[in-house]
Amino acid sequence: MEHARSWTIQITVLSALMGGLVALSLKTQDRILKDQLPDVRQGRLARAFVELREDATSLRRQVLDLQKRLREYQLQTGSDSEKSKLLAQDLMVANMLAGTVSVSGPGVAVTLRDSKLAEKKPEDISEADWRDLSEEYYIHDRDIRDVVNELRASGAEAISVNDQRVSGLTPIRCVGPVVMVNDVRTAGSPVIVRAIGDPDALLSGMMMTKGVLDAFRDVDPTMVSIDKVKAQTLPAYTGSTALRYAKVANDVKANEAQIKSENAEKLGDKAVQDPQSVNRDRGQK
Amino acid sequence: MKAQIWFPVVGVTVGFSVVFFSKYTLSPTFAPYLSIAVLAALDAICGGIRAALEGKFTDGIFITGFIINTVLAALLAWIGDKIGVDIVLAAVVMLGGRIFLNLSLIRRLLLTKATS
Repeated sequence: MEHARSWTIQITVLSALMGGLVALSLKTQDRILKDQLPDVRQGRLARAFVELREDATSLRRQVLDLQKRLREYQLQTGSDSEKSKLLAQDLMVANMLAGTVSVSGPGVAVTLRDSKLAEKKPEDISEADWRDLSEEYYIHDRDIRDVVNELRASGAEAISVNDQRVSGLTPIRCVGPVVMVNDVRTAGSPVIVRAIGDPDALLSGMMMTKGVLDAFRDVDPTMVSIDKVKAQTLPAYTGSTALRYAKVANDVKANEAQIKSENAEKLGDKAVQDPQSVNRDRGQK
Repeated sequence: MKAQIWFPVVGVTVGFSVVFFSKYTLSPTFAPYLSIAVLAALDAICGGIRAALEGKFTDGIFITGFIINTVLAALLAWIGDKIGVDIVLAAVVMLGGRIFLNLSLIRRLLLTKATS
């Protein structure tokens, strides 16, 4: 009987240990899922990923701080003399255009949402067919880009997507279920596009028949909502502003490029309106 | 004898809930080693129960078997990680196979005991 008790104790203790290990394993997996680590097996990569992401967050905060400090310096130099005041004003306008300062003003907020219809698959459709069909129930990066483009065409002066400022260098793309704006992962649904400009002009640009949002109205009108906003603040662009390749061109060459582009437009018009006229011109020469 | 069969189940439940409701978590780096340790523990438990049912249980063999299996499996996982080959699969297959074998033997022993 002594012997029997010995094995019971040992096995029970080891069972408790195993239970603990299983729980630990579950919790670790849970954490991995929550952190959206790329793959469990690539442990070293996973760790590097977490570290880099933390680095990126702190660096972005640093950029914000430095930008703020820079702006203070600019404002201070602006108060010295008339000349430097003008210069500082110009600089501020350039900053606003570039998106490197946060701006506020009236405008619209466009909210794009994945359709609720995407959640329940009709039973009489195969999995593969449904994947194709449900495609249009989701918000895609191209939809967001279209909205941004249309807002710009309607006179938006500053745009942000999911509180990431859209600058001249901003890519917008989907990576799985998230939207990357300025290489920052943001929510895939709802996507909130804010624009500063004339609210009525922006709204009518959005509502245009055959416009960017027309397709959604056919699929599911609840996917889009547009609100006029009296005052909103868009954050500053915090990505890299270091230029490695682009240089300021000299004026003569810049003018040449401008004239060339204007001529190209004229030629294009002619070709569209009257294809023969181009040939005729050539024939005369 | 019948009551003793439930002891491991109680053990697992207690151990699980103690760790699960504590705040302690492990770095994701150790996740693959952890799953190997779980497998080795499960194998040792199955082997231990089987030996006990057969009346061949020996103190030292049970504990050392568990420790050495775990260490070896972790070592294989580590080496595999270094040279880029999943050697750890060897341990997984081996331990998994043994678990099934032992479980079937336990089942047979219990059934024959129940009928006789």
